[in-house]
Amino acid sequence: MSAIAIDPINPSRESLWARLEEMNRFSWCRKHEYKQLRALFFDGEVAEYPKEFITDVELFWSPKQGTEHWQAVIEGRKAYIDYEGKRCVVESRAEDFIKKSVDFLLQCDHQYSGMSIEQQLALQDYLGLECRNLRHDRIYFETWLAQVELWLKGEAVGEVELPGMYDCVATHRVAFAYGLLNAAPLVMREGRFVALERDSPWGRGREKDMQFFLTSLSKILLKKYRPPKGLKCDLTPRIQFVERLRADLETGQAPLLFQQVWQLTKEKKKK
Amino acid sequence: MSTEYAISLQLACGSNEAASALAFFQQVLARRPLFELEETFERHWPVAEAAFSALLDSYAPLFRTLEAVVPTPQHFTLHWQGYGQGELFLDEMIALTSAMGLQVLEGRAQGDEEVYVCELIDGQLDCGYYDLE
Repeated sequence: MSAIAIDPINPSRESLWARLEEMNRFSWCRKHEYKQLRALFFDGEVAEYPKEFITDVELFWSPKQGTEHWQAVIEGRKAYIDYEGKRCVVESRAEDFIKKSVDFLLQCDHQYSGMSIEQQLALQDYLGLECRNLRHDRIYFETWLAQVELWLKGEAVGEVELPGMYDCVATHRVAFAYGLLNAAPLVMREGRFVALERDSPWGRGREKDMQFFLTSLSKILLKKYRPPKGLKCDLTPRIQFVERLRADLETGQAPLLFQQVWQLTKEKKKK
Repeated sequence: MSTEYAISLQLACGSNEAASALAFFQQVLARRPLFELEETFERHWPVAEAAFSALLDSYAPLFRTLEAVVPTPQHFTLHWQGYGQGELFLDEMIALTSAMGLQVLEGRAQGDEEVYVCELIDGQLDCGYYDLE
């Protein structure tokens, strides 16, 4: 775990950059690449025809946020220089860029690079969830589940996301996550998830994992919630979120599959 | 498909540059970021900066597989183990370390069928392929 203190509500860009440095996240960077990433991170500056290592994080690492900026970035991504040095503009490049960005947006809590939750949700609205990769719906849902569970434990997904933050982007994507699970081609049969479509990304053994993850969250929700010790922020959002999920499960607001796992976990606990 | 190579390069310790070079390769071994390595290199060997940049352009992944730096009083040996074009990488490393003011004593790049050996004979490096027994 990083020794650098990160403010759980408003982390400074300096502390976030220092943390990334400490984690050796720039070990692959040549001098010019490191400079370009720094310029993006601190000043929002990007060359006219940036390489992929910049465009991959361009919308997320920049201190410049907001619809005007995003529009300009997307416009810029339509253009490239061909092998003869001629400037070309291709509309579909913007669509590809949006699709890739939405995919990344939904697979990570970008507070680690200085993007507030409000900014992430605004970008999500601007780009549109319909631009996501539909083949990744299970991954988005699993990401949501992992973000929720680990945030409740004071931890974070993977190495790069920030542990112990005041809030987590997943708590604002409940309706989206419920929608994904409601649409999943899965059913509960004799206490087990069964995939209805053989080659669906939700099947091929993944249905067992999904049931395992939902059971894990259900177990946390069934116990008296004890917020993790040592967090340097108000714990109210965590307590309220646990109460919200419990209420959704008890009142039938949560997806049917989640309710079924919840009931099963409750019954097992009674035995 | 690229082949896995075991590459070694033996350099003499006699020159003024040897201590700085040893410290530099220890930095590589410690997996310091490439931009830091470039900065160190520029400070100590500005005349060879372009050669180092060209080496990283083509062989950065193999260069970063440095797995041992073995010093003795007379020389030190660098050992790499990784995938790529081992002989070409060795040639580039020989050119680079020579530009750094170091004397190359021996270099070897062993693939799955042959070993490419560069030896110092009468003050000149003589390179050639040998079949593996």
